[in-house]
Amino acid sequence: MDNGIGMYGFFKAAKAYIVNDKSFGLIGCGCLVQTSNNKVTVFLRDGLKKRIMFMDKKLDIEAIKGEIQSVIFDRGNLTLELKVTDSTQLVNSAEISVKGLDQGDYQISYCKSRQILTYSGGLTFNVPIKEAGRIKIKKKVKSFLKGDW
Amino acid sequence: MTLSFKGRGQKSLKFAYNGGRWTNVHFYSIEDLESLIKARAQFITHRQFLDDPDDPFNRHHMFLPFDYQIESTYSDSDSVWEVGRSDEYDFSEPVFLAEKNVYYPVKEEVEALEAYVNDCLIKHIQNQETFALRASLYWKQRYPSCPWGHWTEERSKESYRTYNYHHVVNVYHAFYKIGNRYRLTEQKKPLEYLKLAYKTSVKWFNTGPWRHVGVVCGSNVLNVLEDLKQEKLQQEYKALLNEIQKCNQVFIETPYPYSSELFVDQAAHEQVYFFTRYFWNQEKISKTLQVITALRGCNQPVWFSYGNDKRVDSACWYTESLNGMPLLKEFEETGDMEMLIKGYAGVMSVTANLLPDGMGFGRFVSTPEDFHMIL
Repeated sequence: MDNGIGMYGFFKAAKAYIVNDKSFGLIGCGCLVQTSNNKVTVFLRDGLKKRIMFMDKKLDIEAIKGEIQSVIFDRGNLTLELKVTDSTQLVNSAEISVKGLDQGDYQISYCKSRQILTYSGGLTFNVPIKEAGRIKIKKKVKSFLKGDW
Repeated sequence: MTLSFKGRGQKSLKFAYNGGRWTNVHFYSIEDLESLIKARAQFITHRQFLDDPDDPFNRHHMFLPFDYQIESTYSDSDSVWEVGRSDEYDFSEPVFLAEKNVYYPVKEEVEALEAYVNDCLIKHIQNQETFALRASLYWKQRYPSCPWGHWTEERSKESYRTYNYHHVVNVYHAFYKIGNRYRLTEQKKPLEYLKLAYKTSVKWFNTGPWRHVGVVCGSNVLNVLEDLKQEKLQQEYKALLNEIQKCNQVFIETPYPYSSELFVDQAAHEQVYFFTRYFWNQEKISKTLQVITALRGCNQPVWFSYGNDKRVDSACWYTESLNGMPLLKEFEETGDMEMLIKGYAGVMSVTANLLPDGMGFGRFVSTPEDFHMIL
């Protein structure tokens, strides 16, 4: 009854955006945003929990597999922390794609594991879903994103 | 500050900020969206799936439309395509279920959908040699003064409606992703579904008077193209690229490439935008954005008009989300808040059509008593 065609567009486009508004400061579309000291914490509420973009930095994160519950961007430590879960019980590993970072090497750490990946236009990695509750992404040298937040 | 509401419906809030400034926000509150999406998929699987091997029209394992007033599916209609598995009206359920399972996979939903594809679509709707799509499995005997929609068997076998093909492409393509990501497809391998998407795409660009007109959900064929490349299917990739380029050339050469099968429609814009963007034609990209934003009016503070194409008293319809996609793409690149406002509101507006029990409507109408087509 036409419903599925409209929802197809929704599925393709649903995303959480964090935007710096002139009047209200950091606001979220499709998400809740909390700021505390140097940390920006985002809880996804867009219905899909697959995509999130920090507009000021064009930092673009997607869960190809798994659901992003929250993202913490720590401006002090220059780290990203993702909480990824799976409500379907059919996902063995979370597959995450990150775009908008500086070129360079990044450390991906979760539980007791870590990977070093080189960013070149994008960063894609897999994490066992049972260990994806706290994924940290940190650049190996000082600069994380171009400019300051 | 976090607010929550009891019950769905129209709400208004007044915000006071910045020492004396204020603004009113008018919106429609719905239940948790993830739950609504999952309920809709279960409703389609359990209440709209036809299990009737004796159906004389071969609709076994098809999804039937649902009449919410009588709380039942229906299998007869004066517009035969409504119950014959074609058109946006009838491809709606498999398109929803397929794409939903790309993000939230459920084994029994994928099984039902694969049964539809393999027992109904491939067997009876789509010719597997020519990849032509039949207009309707259902048909009627005509009689003097019968409605136009009483198609004969001969008419029901016509396959020229270009607007049917991309939906089937998108179902196959979703299966390719479901199979690759979750290993849930059992009747065909993911690559077989990708090849079906490819073959149906080529047929689409060679069928009917609208073959080089933008169609709803048409932009996803660019993802099919990219996946062919990724899978190193070079011959298929080049063939489809050639078809897409020919279509794009028509978009570039046509001064106003936003026509449709209906005299009033906003169906072409999404595909025109993403095609001209893929091959980069700045003039048409800008023009398409200009047309979409113009269609969305002046941000009237009415929840069902905000970010919606102006189309008489019909809102939260599929062009709102589909034409919202180009606006959000532009927002991501430029930060233009007008694009976010019109795009995000449009994309989210269609979710107001989902009910907690799983029913899904096609649109919102503010004056249903004047709207004689209940969708």
